[in-house]
Amino acid sequence: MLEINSVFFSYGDADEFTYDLHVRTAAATVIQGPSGAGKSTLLHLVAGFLAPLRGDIRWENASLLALPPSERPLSMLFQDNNLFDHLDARTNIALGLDAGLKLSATQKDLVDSAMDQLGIDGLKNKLPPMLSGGQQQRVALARALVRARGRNKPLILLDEPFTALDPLTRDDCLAAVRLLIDDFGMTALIVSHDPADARDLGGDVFSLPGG
Amino acid sequence: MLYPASPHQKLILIGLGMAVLLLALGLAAILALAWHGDGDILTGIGHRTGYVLRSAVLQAGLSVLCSVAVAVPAAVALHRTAQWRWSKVMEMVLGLALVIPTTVAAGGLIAVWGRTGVVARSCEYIFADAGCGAISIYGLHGVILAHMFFNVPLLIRIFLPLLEAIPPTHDRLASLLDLKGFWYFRHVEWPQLKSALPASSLLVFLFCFTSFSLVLMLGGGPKVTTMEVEIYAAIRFSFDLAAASGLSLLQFACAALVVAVIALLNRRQPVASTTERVFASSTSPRPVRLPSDFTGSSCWLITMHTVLIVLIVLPVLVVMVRGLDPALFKVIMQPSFLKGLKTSLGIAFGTSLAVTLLAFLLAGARAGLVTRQEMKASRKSMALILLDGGIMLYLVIPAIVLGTSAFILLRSAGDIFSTAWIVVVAANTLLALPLAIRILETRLTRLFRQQDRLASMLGIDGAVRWRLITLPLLEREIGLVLGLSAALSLGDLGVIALFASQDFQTLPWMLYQAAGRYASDQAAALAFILLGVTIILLISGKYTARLFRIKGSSDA
Repeated sequence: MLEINSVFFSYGDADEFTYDLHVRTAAATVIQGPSGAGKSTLLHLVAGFLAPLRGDIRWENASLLALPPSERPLSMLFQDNNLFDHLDARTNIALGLDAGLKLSATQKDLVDSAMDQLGIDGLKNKLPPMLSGGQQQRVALARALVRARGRNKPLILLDEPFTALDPLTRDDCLAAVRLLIDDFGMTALIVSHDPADARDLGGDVFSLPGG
Repeated sequence: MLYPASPHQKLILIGLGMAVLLLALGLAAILALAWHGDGDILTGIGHRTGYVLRSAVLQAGLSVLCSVAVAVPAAVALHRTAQWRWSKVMEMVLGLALVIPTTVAAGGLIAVWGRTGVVARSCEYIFADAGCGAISIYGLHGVILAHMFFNVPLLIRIFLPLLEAIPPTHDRLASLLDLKGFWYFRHVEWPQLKSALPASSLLVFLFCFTSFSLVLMLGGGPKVTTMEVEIYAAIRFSFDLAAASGLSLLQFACAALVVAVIALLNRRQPVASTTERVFASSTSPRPVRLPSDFTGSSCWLITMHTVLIVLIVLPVLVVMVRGLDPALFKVIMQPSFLKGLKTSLGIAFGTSLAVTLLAFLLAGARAGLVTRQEMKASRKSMALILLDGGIMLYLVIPAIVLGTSAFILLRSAGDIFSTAWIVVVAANTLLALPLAIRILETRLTRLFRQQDRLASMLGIDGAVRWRLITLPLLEREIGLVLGLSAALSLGDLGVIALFASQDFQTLPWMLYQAAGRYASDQAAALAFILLGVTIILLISGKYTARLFRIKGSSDA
């Protein structure tokens, strides 16, 4: 379980945010709220890009606060810029396992099977600019999957990841997220302003009050 | 701690350290000049100084007027004829003109407009009148012509992106209102250019006011002069170091004043951004528009193209054609030529490496500071001001001032000429640094912005990050910086003029001397070789940067 206990954060001006929520493992939790409510801020706090002023963030009963982003048990999907444009799809996924790209045979198998499972095995040697928006996000999801299986990072944070996509592609991507949760027991924390996302993912919904 | 440390902490610290060093060095250079005058700075500033200043201001002012008068219609014409294949060639030549050594350009202009030049010869041929040969290129008009050779392309490269940025809605509106030709210019194009005109004119003014080689080679005597030429004469001919340091200080003050005004004019952007736009625009593909509806009469379009051809293409062509002469081999065979070539290439390589390394560290530090600040949403920090100060200082110190200071400092330390090449490399490095930093910094900031979070989530940092995800995407900019700094230092005459000796000569210096001896065969050959080496250096910079490429496959 991911516990966000009385976390307080402020950018130094009038905006102040307090978060208190528990996120079930192997399920989806959708964060909703108007813009300015601090939805993305919450994800950045969990990921470690921001540090809370008070409170604690715990995963499986251990505090995450002292850990840098790369050592936290999570992957994050941003709205865009999730891939490095000069590296092909397979390399982008492999980066999730080893930053120096020195992969063992089992790790390589892991990458290939993840691409299989997300239906993107035909895109191995394609560079991101050649891929559609939906394909790019699925490559990023495949990277999250190999990190969950190969590096024990079962938590995935998604920051409005499918907002820019057309409805059909969005459905495909949501199905991919469901697959990560149902088949591989990943825990997803999703920020969205679209109520349909919450409905289609069928997870818990948590609403932040207007900021 | 409120925020986790920036992933570029180390780079920022190194960059800041270097900025402090640069500031100290620059201030030491200025102080050395002041101290050398020993309170007697004013002795150097005699009755001639007023004349020199007036002459330089007049020359620079006229140069600006002529350059703008040609560049505005030429940019408009080039933009309106963007779909012509010839316009592409033209833009390439204009880009090349910016980095051609000043000595080569002067040689080309003499070959076109000089007594036995192309214009005089064809004039004689057409009119069968020997009187045409009496036209002389030497004098104020020659200097202005030479300044136009460099500054018209510069201005065009500033103006073209502005014209390309005209929103399509304006075009639609214009065609509804039936605005064509001049009226399209008056109501659509001119407002776009107007805003950039004051700052870019001042930039051109600064270049012409601090001009050295072109005035030296084409001024034709003591009447047309600049402070740089006076400083050079004070050191080389009358060996009056007090005068040289006094004039250098005055020149530094003048340049600082102009730069300050430019900074005030585009307060929103750093001063170097105008120059940055010039070179950065060549690294990103520009959108192509077809404004064929608004071109107006094709007669004046062809006229403007012809003006550009005569003004810029012809001198370059003449250098190429005249260089291909049996005399070329005679020059190449001389041992002094080989020695000069070796010296020149050594300076170019040394400068290129030093500029790229320093610019990379400083630009990286600046990009790191800027992105960190954006995350904090805070104001401009002291660190950033310090960094910018270290970078900008060398925009204000003209080459010859830096050289004079080094000359004076080293003279008191011992033998100048044994350390001359180090000084020449160092001075050229400092002079190319502001431009190089701008080129790298824009791209690095964008890369950091895009990559920082993703990289820190994936734990890609340190050397791995540079090798894998930053340097490969910086290839174009590094190539540009490598090539540009090599080409610029290869063509330098301002610094070498103070340090050249019998044993220490570069190709531009040899070319300058050959031109002074009226050894036109030799000068033509040297100009041809210098032009060739410049082009080779620009291209090899591009290919060297490919070393940073990595294979995009995951066979690792």
